[in-house]
Amino acid sequence: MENIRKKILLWKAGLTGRDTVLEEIWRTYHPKLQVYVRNFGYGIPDESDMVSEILLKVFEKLHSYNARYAFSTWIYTLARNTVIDRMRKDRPEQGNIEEREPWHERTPEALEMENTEQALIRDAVAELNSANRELIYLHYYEELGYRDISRITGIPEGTIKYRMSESRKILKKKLERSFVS
Amino acid sequence: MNRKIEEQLKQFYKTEAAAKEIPPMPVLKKEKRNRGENLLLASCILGCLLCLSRPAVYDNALRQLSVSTGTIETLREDFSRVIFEASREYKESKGVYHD
Repeated sequence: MENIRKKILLWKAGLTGRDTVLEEIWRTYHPKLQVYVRNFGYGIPDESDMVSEILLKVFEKLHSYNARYAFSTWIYTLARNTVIDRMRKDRPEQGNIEEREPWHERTPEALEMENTEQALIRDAVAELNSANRELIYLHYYEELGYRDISRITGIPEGTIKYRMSESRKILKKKLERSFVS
Repeated sequence: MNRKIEEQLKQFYKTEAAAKEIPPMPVLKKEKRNRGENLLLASCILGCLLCLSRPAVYDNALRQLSVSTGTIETLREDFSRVIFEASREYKESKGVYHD
């Protein structure tokens, strides 16, 4: 069982303080969600404020979390809905979140300092549309299965499998070429 | 997909997340206690004060519960239980009963 899920159970049983649980969530998920939010191509240079907003919402709704299910599934569902709501509010004309958008806007100095491999992978991931970037992130980084990803995104498992296979092809092609050269 | 590429992808996200700064958590409002918790807390405080000022209340509370002398001696060691009984005794003397 995830460490955070255990702590939430202890908090619900009155055996640990609420602040201990919230601090753990903040420390663990703030950096992860910054990377996750970037997948949407929201176009803001710093996702930190939006992630703080998401986490405050998580804290508000924490009592409704059912600890029988994975905490990561619950938090990513909430994060996704918050980002999409915000995008619809800020950019009502952009109904489709799958449009390809620049993923990273980095200064040339920052890029120069960066590890080449990291930059190559970033370029390859940026080739994908935002919806597929999200799937790749959830599957490879959070190690979530297709069923959990389907719960988070509301996309049928079959569609996820197909999209993952398409994304893998793009990434493989791009990365193999880059690493060979 | 090539296993190596999968590993690189995972490492890529790990590096990205590790590079992110974590802002300090905002100070949140204290959790609000409900009425029952307030009553319990107030009872405990009053019970403690009562116990400190009138130690005989311990024994009276326990005797009224038909507890044997041996158990009273044992419970004397168990401070939290004594406080609880004493606070209950106090509440009942004030006309407050458990649901």
